[in-house]
Amino acid sequence: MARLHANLSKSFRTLFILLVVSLLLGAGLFKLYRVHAAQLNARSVMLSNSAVDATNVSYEFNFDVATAGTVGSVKFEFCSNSPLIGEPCTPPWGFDSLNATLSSQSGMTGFSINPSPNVNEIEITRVPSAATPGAASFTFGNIQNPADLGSAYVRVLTYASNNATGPETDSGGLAFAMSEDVTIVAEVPPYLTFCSGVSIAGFDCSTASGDFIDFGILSPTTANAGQSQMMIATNAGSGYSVRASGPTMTSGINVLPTMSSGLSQPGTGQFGMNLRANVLPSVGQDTQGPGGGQPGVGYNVPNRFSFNDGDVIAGNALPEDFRKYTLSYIVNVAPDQPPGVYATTLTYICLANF
Amino acid sequence: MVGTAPIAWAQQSSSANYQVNEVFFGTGGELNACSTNYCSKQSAGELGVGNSTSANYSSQAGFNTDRNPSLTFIVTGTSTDLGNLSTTATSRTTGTFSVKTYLAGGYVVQTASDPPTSTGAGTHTLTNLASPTAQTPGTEQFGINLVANTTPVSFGANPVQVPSGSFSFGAVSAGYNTPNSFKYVKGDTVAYSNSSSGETDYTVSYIFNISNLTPSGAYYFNHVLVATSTF
Amino acid sequence: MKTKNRILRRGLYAVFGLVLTVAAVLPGLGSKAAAYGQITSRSIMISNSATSATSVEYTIGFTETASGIVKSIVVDFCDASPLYGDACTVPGTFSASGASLTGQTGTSGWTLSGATAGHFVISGASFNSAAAMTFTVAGITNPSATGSYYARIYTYAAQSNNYSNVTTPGTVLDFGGIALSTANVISITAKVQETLTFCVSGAAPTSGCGGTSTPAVTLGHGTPAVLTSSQVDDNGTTTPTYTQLTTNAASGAIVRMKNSNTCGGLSKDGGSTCDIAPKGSVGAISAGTAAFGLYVAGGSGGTGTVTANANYNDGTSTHYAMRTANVTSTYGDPIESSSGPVSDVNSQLTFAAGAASTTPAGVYTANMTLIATGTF
Repeated sequence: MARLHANLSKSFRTLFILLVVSLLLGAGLFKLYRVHAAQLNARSVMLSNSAVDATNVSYEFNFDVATAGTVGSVKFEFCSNSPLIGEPCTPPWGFDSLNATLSSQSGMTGFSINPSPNVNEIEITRVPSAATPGAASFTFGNIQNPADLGSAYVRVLTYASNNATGPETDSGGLAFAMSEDVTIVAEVPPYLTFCSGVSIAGFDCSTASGDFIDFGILSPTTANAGQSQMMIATNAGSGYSVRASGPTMTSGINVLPTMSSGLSQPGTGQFGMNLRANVLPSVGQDTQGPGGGQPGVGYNVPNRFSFNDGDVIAGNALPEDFRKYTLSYIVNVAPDQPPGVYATTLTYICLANF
Repeated sequence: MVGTAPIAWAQQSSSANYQVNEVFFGTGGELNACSTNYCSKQSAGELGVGNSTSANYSSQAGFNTDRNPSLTFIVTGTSTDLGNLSTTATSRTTGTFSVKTYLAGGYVVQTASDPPTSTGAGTHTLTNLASPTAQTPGTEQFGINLVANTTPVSFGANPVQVPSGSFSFGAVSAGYNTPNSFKYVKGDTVAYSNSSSGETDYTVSYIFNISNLTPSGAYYFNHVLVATSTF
Repeated sequence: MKTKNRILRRGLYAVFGLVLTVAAVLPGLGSKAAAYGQITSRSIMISNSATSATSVEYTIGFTETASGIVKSIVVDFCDASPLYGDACTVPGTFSASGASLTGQTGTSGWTLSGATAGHFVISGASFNSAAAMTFTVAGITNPSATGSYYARIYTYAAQSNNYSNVTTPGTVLDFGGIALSTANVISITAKVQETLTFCVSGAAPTSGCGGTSTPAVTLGHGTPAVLTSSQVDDNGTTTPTYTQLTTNAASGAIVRMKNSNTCGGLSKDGGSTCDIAPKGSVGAISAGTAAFGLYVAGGSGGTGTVTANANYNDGTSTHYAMRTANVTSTYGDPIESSSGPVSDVNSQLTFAAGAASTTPAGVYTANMTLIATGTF
């Protein structure tokens, strides 16, 4: 049996045609995605000190302004939990920016600190004006670091208003870290190197040899001379001094008179020494070595000799780097000097002042 | 009695890959009989009724079959904010769509979007899983599947045939049909039918994982699905 | 009664008559010949199903079965019907006026013309029948409403066809209607927060700055350890120091070092004077020279690369540096850096010092502060 489908009008036919309907089943209005402020690109925060609890720390912020438009304020919000804009912010324990100062600004300028009641927030403000997209930099001083090791965060937001209210124009999060310092310790021990002998090769105390000088037959017509050497090195911060200790040349009750910066005079009873190269008589050498020590007063002039028990014969007020001294001795006797074996034992004492 | 010379309808069947959309077998009938103001579909002498299908073919036969090819593709438009992604846990969500096609040789549903991408300078795209892979927190991953998942948590669903599998034949493509394994390759076919099909409801399961190296930012994934029928 | 029966009988007769009339007339009613075949295996794949999407690609595919030679095709887009000859309204804000032919398979040399809001023509050299063709048309704007819309494809034997309008398509070789659909978009957003994890340790840190210890460096040799002029001592094996850096900063991070002593070296008077002076530029410290310096090994382990600054690593592990002006500046001297994100990368810092024979005896110290800065 035939069955008629009368399509009386175009509209009816349209209704008759299978219609496909897309149903919007999502709750509420359909949104493609949330609107976000533009991101501040190439953003960083550089600290002058990463130690926990450090005070007077500088924080330098650098970022690229993304959006051309009016900027009247910028907010820096420090959080211990998250850099994400819009998330709850927990101030970092111990952090304090209440007394922060704006020590420099560039790229986007004309700002001053807008005092904030929040210990973890810095707000800068200016008369709202156009911001050109590009690099900007702000340095804040006098900040106290968080008290905890580890990561912390900053949220940077720009606003068209001059008091950080209303929707942000651009924003971005940052992370930084508190870390431990590395403590370096090194100990330099005190030392004193001192040796003496008839001779010392180079600056090596292990070569020091000889402890006896024989002047031979004393003559009233010729000066008798001899020499020995001593070497010193020390890191004593205040240097050192060397003293000579002992009597003059003696034979029983007979003594040879000591000298006091005198010239050698054969035929006159004399005993003396110096630490120089001499001509009259020819004996001794000047001081050698990279150090700076010098013979003491009375012992530092060629051809003039002295001796006094306990005198400082050499020294340096600073640490000494290997100094070798040559000690020159002279003995003169008078024609009527009583015969005998004249001798003395001299002890040299080096005292380092640390 | 009035008689007019009938004018033959042009054939609508083809050879080789035979496709029949609207013909009548009977003692009389018109697919589109029209006068000046009216048109009608007419049939007389019904030889067969109902829908019949084989693996790759289907037909609608009977008293009054619709002659309009159609594709019904409904995506539940949603906007989901997963919040803060973590290196220690996988973020998951689902979306749904349904497909129905009539007088067609089938349909394919393809995914046409790039993987989630961040905005701003230095934009980054989350690493898509090129082959079915289990979710691993701490490793940057983005993937989907269209089946019910059980491990480590239950989420997602298998396709639902509406009203039943006797009328609807949609299926999930290989690569996206393994529970607890996820894949995403832009342009892939994720669902299909090889014949006209009633409604099949699909659930897309999404997984997001990040590593320590994943750059910061807001990541957006606007999932565009494209349904194409072959008629 | 009679009347009733008569009426009834008359009614029945009328029905039967009507049926007979219809049965006789019906074959002749409205029998128009539409002499076109059907385009088979036809489809249009769109690159984007979002409403109002622009620059969308439409790939028209079909298999032509006409026995004739096809030289042009016309495509119409309609909001309500794919059927031949039905009225056609361009769907919403759909527009093909900017369409261009960007690809073709199964043939070549075809061009697109006559593009209007809901219509365009593709024509060229003929192709044989029974061939699968695709034409990719770009620059199309989708409708603004979600839901179905339709396309009608006509093929012609003439390159310059006689299509007039949608209800007068001309001499059509074959025809096929196609259903398309826009759809909503599933939107998902997620955030990845900025991260920077940096630690300094006396032991090589494990993942995530685990297993760290307070770094405390002692320079010297012997027991107790002392610095002398006989050799240069470092902390490499005795009291090592490590940094570990993890960050997702897109442009990486820089680690800078500051010396608490304003003189830049090791001091025994709180930093006013440094009898163990900073080394200066990178190089060897000779035994018997009072100098203090650092060697940075560069990153190891983890993922990503941390590179030692060349001022603190010239390729020789026994060369050290301590740049006075830089390590005493406000933010310190860069000693290592990464150019992108890194994870759990360790770097060993080796401090070294030597004493001269004249280096005053005493305990020398310095506090080295290490600061990591990420650029996101």
